[in-house]
Amino acid sequence: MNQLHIMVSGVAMLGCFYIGSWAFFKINSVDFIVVQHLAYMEQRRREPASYTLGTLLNFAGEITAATKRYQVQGWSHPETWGTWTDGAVAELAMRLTPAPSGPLKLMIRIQTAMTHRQQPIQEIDVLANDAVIGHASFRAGDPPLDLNSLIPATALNNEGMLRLVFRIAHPSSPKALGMSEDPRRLGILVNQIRISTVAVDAP
Amino acid sequence: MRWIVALRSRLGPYARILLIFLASRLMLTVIGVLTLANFGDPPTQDHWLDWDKLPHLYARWDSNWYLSIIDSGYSRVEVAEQAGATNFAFFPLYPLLVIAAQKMWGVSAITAGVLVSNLAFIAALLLIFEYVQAIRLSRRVGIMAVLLLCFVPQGFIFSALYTESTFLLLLVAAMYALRHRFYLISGLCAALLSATRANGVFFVVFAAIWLLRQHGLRPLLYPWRHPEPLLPIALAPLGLVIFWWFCFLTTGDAFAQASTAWHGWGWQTDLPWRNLANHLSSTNLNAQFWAISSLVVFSLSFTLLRLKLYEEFIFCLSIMLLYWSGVLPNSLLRYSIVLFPVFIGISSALENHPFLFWLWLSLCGLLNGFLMTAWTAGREISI
Repeated sequence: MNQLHIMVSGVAMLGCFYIGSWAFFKINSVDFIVVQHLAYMEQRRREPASYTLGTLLNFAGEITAATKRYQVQGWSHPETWGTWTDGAVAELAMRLTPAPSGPLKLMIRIQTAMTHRQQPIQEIDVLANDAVIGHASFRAGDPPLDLNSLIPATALNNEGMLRLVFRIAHPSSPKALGMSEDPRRLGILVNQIRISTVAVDAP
Repeated sequence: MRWIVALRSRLGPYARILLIFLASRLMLTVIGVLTLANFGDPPTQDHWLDWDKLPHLYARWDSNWYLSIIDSGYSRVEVAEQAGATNFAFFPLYPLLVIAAQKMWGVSAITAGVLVSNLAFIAALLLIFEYVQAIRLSRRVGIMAVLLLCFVPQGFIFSALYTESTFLLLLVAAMYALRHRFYLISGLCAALLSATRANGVFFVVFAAIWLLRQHGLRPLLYPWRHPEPLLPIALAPLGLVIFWWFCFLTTGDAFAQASTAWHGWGWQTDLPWRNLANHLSSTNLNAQFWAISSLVVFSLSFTLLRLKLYEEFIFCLSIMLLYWSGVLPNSLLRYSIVLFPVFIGISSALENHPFLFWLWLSLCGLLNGFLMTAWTAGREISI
């Protein structure tokens, strides 16, 4: 085999190696960040951090380390007035202590919501363990809203596991709208959340 | 005696290039030290002047990502405050060189990184000088191009713990070797280039056009008859594909670099002109600055057409289109300054206009000084 043959075979083999690798990767490669996030979400759902009923969860400023433990998906980083939801779904998971024996009260303070000219109203559904427990509409210029909902006992289980899901009807990116360089798909700016037992009136 | 005369005439420009390099680095270091003394180190606000820590001046921003690879290898762990950001976004050749230098010289990772960058930059400057002669331009143009590269705005990056100087060296080496028909060497340099940064694979554009101009369509139509000129094109993607395999075997994602760049930094692509229009109309002054700077570099690349350096021009054009196709304006200037043929084009255009050349060099030097201050003080404009 002369030098010319070696070179031709080398170039051909390299070409096959590239094309073969590319085809193999296209079929077998999976976005490792997405895989990591899914695994992380699954772990948070299966083994949620414990939450003592009545504790105020702060989503604003820098004192949010405790709050972050409950965030499963769809939350941006904390800002001065709260934490924005990012995307169509934002989820929290927690293990309630003590395990509730009756209905619970959920208070969510929504500082503001993403609205714009084409979509002047933002709408939110709140779900507890897949049961719809609340709905809110937020118009441009509305003051901060305290959304109070009741989590029925039927939506809770004996282990005190609670999945709170916020369904955002119209998440929008300020960048896509030409408002700023912010690429996040903003929904609502959550300031505080508290879950507490429902006070029973004395007979 | 003849060889002494030849050696002297050969050493003359090399010594001048070294002097220019040293003068430019001295100027930048003095600016950095003065900035630290007056504004403090951004993370600690310390106003330090510790000579042992001098290399730290050239370790900022992305340097920390390279340091994480050098210290503990690639990791899938994401940064707490930047979800999706991992060190897989950074290519392996430069950290490998720093690790080798660290082991060889027994110095800290930062010192080794700065040494590797500076040595690569010096070697690149010497090769650029030779390249200028290879394309039949005068030595004067070579020295002028070296001057422009040493004082180009954001040129401090060539001494920093970044990949730019390694990329510059491998790019000029691959082009120089190809022009001298050292096909295997050119291909190997190109393979290393694509292991330094993904856009290194664009060397194939240069090689393909050079091949067409030199040999016509023959090597492409009958590769089995003339395989040698195809070696640079065949070898250029090798570094990138090997990195893909490494990523696949460690994460299950061959395109881990692109995945983490997208999730962690928001790197996405769009039409270049749409992105440029967005950057130019942005309210962010830095975005405007980066976009305008890249446009200036690109417009100066037209000087290459005057010299009939079509391969170099189309290479610069393809790389610029790639840069502009990213939706983020960050670092457009830094990315652009590795396109050394542009500096050759400017130098040739200004060869007989010394006043204009020195005026241009002074303006570049001033802006470089300002950007060095911003870099030392941790300001975003210098990323």
